[in-house]
Amino acid sequence: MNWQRIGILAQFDLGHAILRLKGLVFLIPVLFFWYWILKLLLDNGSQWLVSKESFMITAYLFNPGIAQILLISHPPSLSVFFIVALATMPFFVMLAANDQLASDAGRQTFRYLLIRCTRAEIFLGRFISSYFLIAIVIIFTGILATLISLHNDNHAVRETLEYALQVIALVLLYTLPFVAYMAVISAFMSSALSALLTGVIVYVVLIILGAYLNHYLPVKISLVPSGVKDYLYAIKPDDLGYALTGLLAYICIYACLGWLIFRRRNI
Amino acid sequence: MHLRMPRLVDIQETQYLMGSLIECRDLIKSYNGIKALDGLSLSINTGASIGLVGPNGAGKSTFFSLLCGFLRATSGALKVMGQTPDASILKGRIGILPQDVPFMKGISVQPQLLLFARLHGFSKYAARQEIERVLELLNVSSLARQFPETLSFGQRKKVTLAQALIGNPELVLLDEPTSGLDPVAANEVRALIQKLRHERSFMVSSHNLDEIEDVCDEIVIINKGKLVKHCAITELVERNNYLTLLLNQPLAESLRQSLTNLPGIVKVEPDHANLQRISICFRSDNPDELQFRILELLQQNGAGVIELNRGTVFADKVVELVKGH
Repeated sequence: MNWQRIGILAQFDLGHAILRLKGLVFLIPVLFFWYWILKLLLDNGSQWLVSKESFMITAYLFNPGIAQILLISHPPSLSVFFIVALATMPFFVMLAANDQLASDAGRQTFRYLLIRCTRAEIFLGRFISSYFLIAIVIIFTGILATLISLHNDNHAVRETLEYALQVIALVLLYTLPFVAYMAVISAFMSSALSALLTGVIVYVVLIILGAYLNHYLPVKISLVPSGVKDYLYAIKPDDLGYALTGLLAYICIYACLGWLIFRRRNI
Repeated sequence: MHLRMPRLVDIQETQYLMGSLIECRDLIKSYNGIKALDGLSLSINTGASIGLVGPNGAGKSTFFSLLCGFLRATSGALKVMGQTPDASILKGRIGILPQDVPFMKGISVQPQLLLFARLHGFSKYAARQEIERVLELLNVSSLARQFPETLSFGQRKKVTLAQALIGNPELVLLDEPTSGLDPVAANEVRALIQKLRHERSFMVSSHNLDEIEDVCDEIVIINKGKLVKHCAITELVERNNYLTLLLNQPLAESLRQSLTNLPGIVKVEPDHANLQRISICFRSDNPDELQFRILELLQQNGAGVIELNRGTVFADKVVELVKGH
């Protein structure tokens, strides 16, 4: 494995994603979406977030304990960023990471790379560039949310900054298994669009299948990484440990599966 | 898309000679049960320029794809420069001009070539110099800033060929290097291969047999995925004692007999694929005089000569071998 080649591949792909359809398909909707959310927070969201109504809604969606942690113990603007980021991440990752391998494998342009680097280097290079594209957006929007929180929320600066770091780090971690999930889909599809549609369909099927299995099985299982989301909100060491182990397992399973498919694929 | 578990037989490293460039044994590649390569066994030494010849669907492009690791063999063993095709150590040592494979859309030629050069290990500055060098070799420096989708077929071919030469790879695989090029450009490409073939090994797949004869030392003929013949081109072309003629009519049996009776003529062989073409084998100290007498006899018998070649025609031999397979 040559890390220099992986770096060159990732840098090239990331640099050109911004100007190509591959990147714009993700960047345009995600930036519009966050512009809208952050503008709502900046304009009038913060007063509403500390109201009884928002507490009741949050308690209904999660539980009173988590509502307490998110809206009272921590800066609520950042908590909204956290909740929305975790809720929307699967969709945005599907937009950003659907074309890790699919179209270049389908159009055979990988042939120009494959005589110069190994399949593993291509796989990792594309994985890293897709993840970095999403990570840049998360960090950028996370910084904006932090600034809004510093402006609107009545929490100490140090406390806000520490919470912001935690939130951004957790969202970044939560994103990884979804990128790995799309690597699996992208490894056996031959176009970006087919990878995107298949990614969405398979994801929905896995959620339904998981719900069906949970109805009959004695233990709760989740076939998609969003199952660990509820453990992340609390930001408690025990729950975090459970969530991070789960995320790591999803990353390993999906990444290995994606690699096994891509390794044997005719290009 | 095909996903197959390869069942590769390992060839012991020790079985390779130091100069072995390509070594394959019982190589099979199947697509949905149809064998594109069917037990191909072959050994090619370093330094040779090899022509890969065969009819459409013979398995030439599949063989190239296996050499580069684009495809995985269904079974059999394949080693390039003593390594399996997907070995990391082999990366950058093979260049390929694939058939009809586009560059990435929406990115101009220069950054794509820069990426390829950087993957060869060139620094940013050296990579720029390297792509300038290869583009100049093909006289396409002016195309560097264009998008691949705006290039003509011929321009794309030249840029792709330039890509294959980045980093001076030890083995360059060219799949139909001159198809679709105008005659001037085709000649330029042939001249370039002629010039570079002493520095590295070339493997050229082409239906243009004159081109193969011009630029290659050895020929590998495959048909239906099997090896038909692997030999030096000189083995197929008997230069000294043969005349090949294309007549304006099929050779009459009486005229063939008359030709055979001429002093110095060993045999007269009509081409079964084209009855107007004949090969004459002779033993003579004065071939020019014998040639004159042959032409005289043909003229006397009303047979016009459209084309005359000293030696057997390479293309005829190849066609004969493929048909006989």
